[in-house]
Amino acid sequence: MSLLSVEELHTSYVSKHRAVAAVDGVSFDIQRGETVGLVGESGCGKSTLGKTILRLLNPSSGSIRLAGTEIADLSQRGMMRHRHRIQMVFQDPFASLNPRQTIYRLLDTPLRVHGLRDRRERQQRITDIVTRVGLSPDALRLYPHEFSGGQRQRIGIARALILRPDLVVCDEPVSALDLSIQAQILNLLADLKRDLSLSYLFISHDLAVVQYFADRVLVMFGGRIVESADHHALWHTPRHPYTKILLQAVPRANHPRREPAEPATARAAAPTESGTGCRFRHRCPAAIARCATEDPTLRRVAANHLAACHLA
Amino acid sequence: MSGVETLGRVLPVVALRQRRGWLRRALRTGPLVCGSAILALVVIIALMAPILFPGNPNDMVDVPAQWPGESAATPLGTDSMGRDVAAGLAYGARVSLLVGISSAVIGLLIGTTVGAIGGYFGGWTDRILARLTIIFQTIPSFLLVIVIVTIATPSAAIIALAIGVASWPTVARLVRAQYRSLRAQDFVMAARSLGYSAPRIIVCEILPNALPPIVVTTSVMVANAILIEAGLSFLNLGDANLISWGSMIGDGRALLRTAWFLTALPGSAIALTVLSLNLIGDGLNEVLNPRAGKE
Repeated sequence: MSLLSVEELHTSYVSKHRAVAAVDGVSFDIQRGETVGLVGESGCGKSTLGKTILRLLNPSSGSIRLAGTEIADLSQRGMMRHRHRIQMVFQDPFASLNPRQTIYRLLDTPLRVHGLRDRRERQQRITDIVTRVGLSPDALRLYPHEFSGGQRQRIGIARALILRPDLVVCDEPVSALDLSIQAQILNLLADLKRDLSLSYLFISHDLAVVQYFADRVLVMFGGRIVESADHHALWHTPRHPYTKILLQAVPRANHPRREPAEPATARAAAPTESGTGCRFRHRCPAAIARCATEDPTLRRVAANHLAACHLA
Repeated sequence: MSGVETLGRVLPVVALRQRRGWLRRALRTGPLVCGSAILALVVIIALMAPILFPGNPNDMVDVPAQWPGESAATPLGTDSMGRDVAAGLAYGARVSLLVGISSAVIGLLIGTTVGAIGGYFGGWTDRILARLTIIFQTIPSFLLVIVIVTIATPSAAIIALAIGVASWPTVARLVRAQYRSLRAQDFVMAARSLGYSAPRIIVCEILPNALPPIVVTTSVMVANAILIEAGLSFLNLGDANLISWGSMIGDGRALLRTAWFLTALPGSAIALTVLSLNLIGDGLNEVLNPRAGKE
């Protein structure tokens, strides 16, 4: 059984006049111990997808199964029992820690909320997790603003792990950090995954980071997954034109860029302009007549390799 | 920002010292110091009133309408009924502060509850509470207080309650706006993902972050309440058993030409107290301003 199984998930933002489908029919699985990367440009719905899986946003339809249990239609109260199994590391380590609470309190409250009465045991778990993320227990009495960005993200990770989750959704956990700090945090996440047998859904707009980190990569565009492949296949034989463009945009050290990255088609595809046909066709260098009429579905193009393109 | 960050990483001590910096900055801000000094004086006089003036301030102690300095026993003069003006001012401070503070507390309690619930939950809960707030805000607060006080007996407690009921909409709107912006913050998202209950998030997570502007408003609310209470007493709608600055002005009005000090002295007391509270509000705003704090 997959640890997480998402099927035909839709999430919409409803404003006064219209509804925008930010996640528009997404299906994927995460196995135990797997790190799945989720890449795509800003506004493609990847953060919304992550937040929907945690039920911080309510899906408009579809199914989310966590180790076999359907959680898409649970009430917030019913969700409470499952919260500890799936946690999140946020992008901005400045905004995601309550500035008025000490680190001890930040880590202690989740344990108390989840019914751990024994004070000594809580203390032990807090010290343990703080040490694991590479902070000294002295840090516990300080406030978030007394730490650097990298240290704060360590605290954010500690908080996500304090309830001993199975799955951690990392929403761009390093994109707010200096390059030198990014590597430290990524290494830390990799170590923690090994030691605590975690699974990650790793959301990022940075393919280089995902390449380093993920076993399997999902490429998202306009609220949908357009390609899904293991990390090697995606890197060497990308099938979807959007993935190809993304890969071309990644700077490489050893050989110069073969051709200029994406030409002047910077216009982001709004998820609303779905209508008919492939939603990438306006930016696609290879679009054909069929793309305007028929929306490509995600289909198998090789073993463990899915792509949503007529030409793949 | 990044400079500070680097410093904090290398020397957490620097960050610690910065934290105490707010106190020094607070002391440096003139308005807060001035306001606090004046208010402290008023509070001390109010607390010491029974010691300084052991008798009943409503008792006749001297010849009526004596000017300040005319008699050694009544240094600030006497009013038309021979009551000691100085004693009246001291006991009036008690009433003003008591009514001011307790009505502000009542207003804060109602306003914060309504604003926090509406702002956090949003949706139709918020719509209903926002309508209620607007309805209360359209009623002129002074008239509402008069209505409540005339229906009930005009005791200090009723007056405080009435002013509190009339003043909560301001707080509710402020708190609602705070909660609306704070609830979208990542740390609230994090609290929800950890399974915190809504009451816990409202009280323990968001409220401490929403507090600074509430604190600032409180000082202004106390000032307004003092003014309303003075207005009520001036119109003879106050607590008849207590001497108040407003009633002193009201009584002195008849002798405005011959003994203007009977109006001027309690009038200055009101003005000074209200001014001190506004100065404190300004000063606190300066100190608690999140932008100033992050530099």
